[in-house]
Amino acid sequence: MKTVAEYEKELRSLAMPLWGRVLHHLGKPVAEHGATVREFWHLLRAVLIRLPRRPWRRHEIAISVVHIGIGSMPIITIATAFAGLVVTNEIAWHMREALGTISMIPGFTAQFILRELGIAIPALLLTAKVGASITAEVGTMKVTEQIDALRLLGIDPVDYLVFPRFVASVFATACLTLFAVAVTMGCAISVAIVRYNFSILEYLNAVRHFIGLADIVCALVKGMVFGGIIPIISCAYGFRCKPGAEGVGTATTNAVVASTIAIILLDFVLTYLFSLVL
Amino acid sequence: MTDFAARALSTFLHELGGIAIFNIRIARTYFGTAGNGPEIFRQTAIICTRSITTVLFAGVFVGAILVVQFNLMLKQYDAQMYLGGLNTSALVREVGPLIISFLLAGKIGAFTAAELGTMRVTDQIDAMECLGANPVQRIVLPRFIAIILASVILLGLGLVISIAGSTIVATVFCGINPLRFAGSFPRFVGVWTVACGMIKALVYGVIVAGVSCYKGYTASGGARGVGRAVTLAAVYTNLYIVIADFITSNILEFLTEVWRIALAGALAWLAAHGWIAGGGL
Amino acid sequence: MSIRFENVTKSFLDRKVLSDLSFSTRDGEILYIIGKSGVGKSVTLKHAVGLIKPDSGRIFVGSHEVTSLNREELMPVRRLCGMIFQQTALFDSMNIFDNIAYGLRSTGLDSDALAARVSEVLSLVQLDSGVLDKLPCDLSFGMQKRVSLARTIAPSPAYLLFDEPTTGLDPIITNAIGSLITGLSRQLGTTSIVVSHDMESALSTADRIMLLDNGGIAALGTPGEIRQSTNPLVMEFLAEINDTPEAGTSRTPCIWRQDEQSYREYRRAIHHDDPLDIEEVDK
Repeated sequence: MKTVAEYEKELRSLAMPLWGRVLHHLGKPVAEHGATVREFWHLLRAVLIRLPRRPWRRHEIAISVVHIGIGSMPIITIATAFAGLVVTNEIAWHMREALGTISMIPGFTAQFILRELGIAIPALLLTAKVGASITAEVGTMKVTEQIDALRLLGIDPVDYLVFPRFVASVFATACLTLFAVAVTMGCAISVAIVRYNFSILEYLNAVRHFIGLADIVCALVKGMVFGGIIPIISCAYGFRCKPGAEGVGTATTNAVVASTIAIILLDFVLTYLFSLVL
Repeated sequence: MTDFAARALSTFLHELGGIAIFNIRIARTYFGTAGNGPEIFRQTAIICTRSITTVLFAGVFVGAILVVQFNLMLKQYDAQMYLGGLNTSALVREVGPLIISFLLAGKIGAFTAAELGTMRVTDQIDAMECLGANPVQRIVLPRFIAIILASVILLGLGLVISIAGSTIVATVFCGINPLRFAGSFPRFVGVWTVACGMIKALVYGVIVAGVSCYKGYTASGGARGVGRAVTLAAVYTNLYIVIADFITSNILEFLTEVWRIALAGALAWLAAHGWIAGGGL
Repeated sequence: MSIRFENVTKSFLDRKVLSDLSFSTRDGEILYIIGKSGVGKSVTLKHAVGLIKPDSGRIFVGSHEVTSLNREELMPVRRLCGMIFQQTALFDSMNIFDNIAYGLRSTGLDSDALAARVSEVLSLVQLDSGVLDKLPCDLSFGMQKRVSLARTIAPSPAYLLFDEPTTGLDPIITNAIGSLITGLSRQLGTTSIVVSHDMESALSTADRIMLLDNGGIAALGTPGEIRQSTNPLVMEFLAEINDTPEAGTSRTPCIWRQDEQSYREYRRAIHHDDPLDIEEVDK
């Protein structure tokens, strides 16, 4: 397979017309990411095969859980709190326009947070916080030939690097999703109480009416899927990192973008599937 | 725990201060010199062509997610006739700019941080200074302005495509007549709604540009340093965008009231002087 | 016209890098600054062009006091000083012509004079004009070094500052670059400061050698004086040369480094076409 540099050089020498360039820009990502997509499937398969086997690497997993879970806590708290403050206002505005009443706020807000907002926002933040740092770390290891060194020591990089991060991320993201939903709900409720004169009992009563166990299970499933996809994509880009500082930078950028796209895409698929069930 | 919170807060404020000082430096360079036009145009074109595929792709799915979700909720209230308008309004005012700018934070912001960070750790920025050029003016400023321009353009396109995407999904997956879907637009979506979306796009563009240029320009420490700069650029951009979303939402809500009163006043004044037929809104 | 350091002190966080450093160059000489890794050799160089500000002390370049100038006032001083970076620091988005012409653009030369000057410096560093429209990544590291040298001498600086010019190069290219430095400095009449840890090339090319240790000067003198010195650090450095049977080869542990082209191909191969050993896991 041609390297991207060679490919670009060849294209430069062709003196392309405009439409050719447009095609080139549309096609380049495909050529560029083809190898990484293959890598992604390899890693996913390897990790899933590895999952039921011993040893479980409890120590590495624990470290990763602390790193991913506790490390992302501050940023997720701040971000979801602000999101919660915004969402009540927006829904109130729209409700007033559409139905002429704001009595529907509790149910609508709770559903929107539990099904979408409280899951998508932390997941998108985690792509930057966790995904990018995993790619940067693995990419740096690749560039400084540490991964080759691991292999020479007889340690399988997938087992040592990818598997603990995968398990930790799935677990931590599930917890963080519940945490984020709680924070968002808390902020949304406080805005409703302060600004729209709901009483807390009235609000919770209305919420209970609209939220079931199924919603919470769906939220958890979504969170775990997102949590699983982020480290795999990030590691795939890390393993495919090209030499030098530039290579690490590019790999990290690509990993963030690819995880974001993957999350948006999977979110749609899952949302649609759940909409058939709920 | 308090120690943890205090450290998080002080880091946050430190970052914010650094970004502010750096942006003032960029602004001063801008007012001090001229002649960056072609470079700004070139950078804008590069950023737009690089990111347009991703933005359009993401835009379609953001619209799709929202419409499926809203359809499900509005069904409970028997308010599906408002689906089109509500969905579009929420998309343009809130969800669209937010999610698409998250994507831009990765696509443009992280890329710029990586590019500038690479130039920094390979001494290219120092070399530029040694050759008697001001790197902030030559490389940072064009990117800064280009990112803002490109963000607005891309977010605008992304919003348009997301509305198209939600219409298609509403038709195909939710079985709603597209004409009926579009019929409820005028009630919720007006010039001001679009203006709100574009103002937010502008604010997010400034955030992406400011944070990523700062993080890239101040990177240090080889490949690891570049990776760190990219990560932090993406994280801080996302965080600031959510916070800015809250602030702009409140300001825009206030301005919406002002706009309504001004519009009503102007119409009443025109009606009173016989310029238009009375009856108002 | 000389570069003069007066009682310069600099610390990073709590680590003191330079303490009370004073020295001055002589006109047209080649001064080698030698020291172990991390004693502040490169930091000294960056002080001279104002990329780093000292905590205390003063630095003069010619009649300008670098330490008291702000960013805009530093510009003319920086044009006097040419700095050659360790990792070449070529602008990787520009072709070789634009790289070399970068420092000339602000001098108001017309395009013909610009092209003439670029081809002139290109012949000074012994490259042919075929490389002009290539990108830096298309050239070998040795050629990149030459281009970076050409870029630096294009605006005719009065001082040349080299940061580890021969680190990471194989012995043959090291010698070529070393003789290029001497040749150019003599030919252009510039005053040069070379930061290096290569005592051998210092002894053969320097006018004076300065040994840095603990942020201060451990020894300063002509190569002859240095050879006779009884300073323990100097003895250590000299012993290093005499012990090595084939000088230079010890610094290139990997065989492929000797042939840059095949080394690059090796790197490319392991980074792009290596199907990460997933298959091993599957077994």
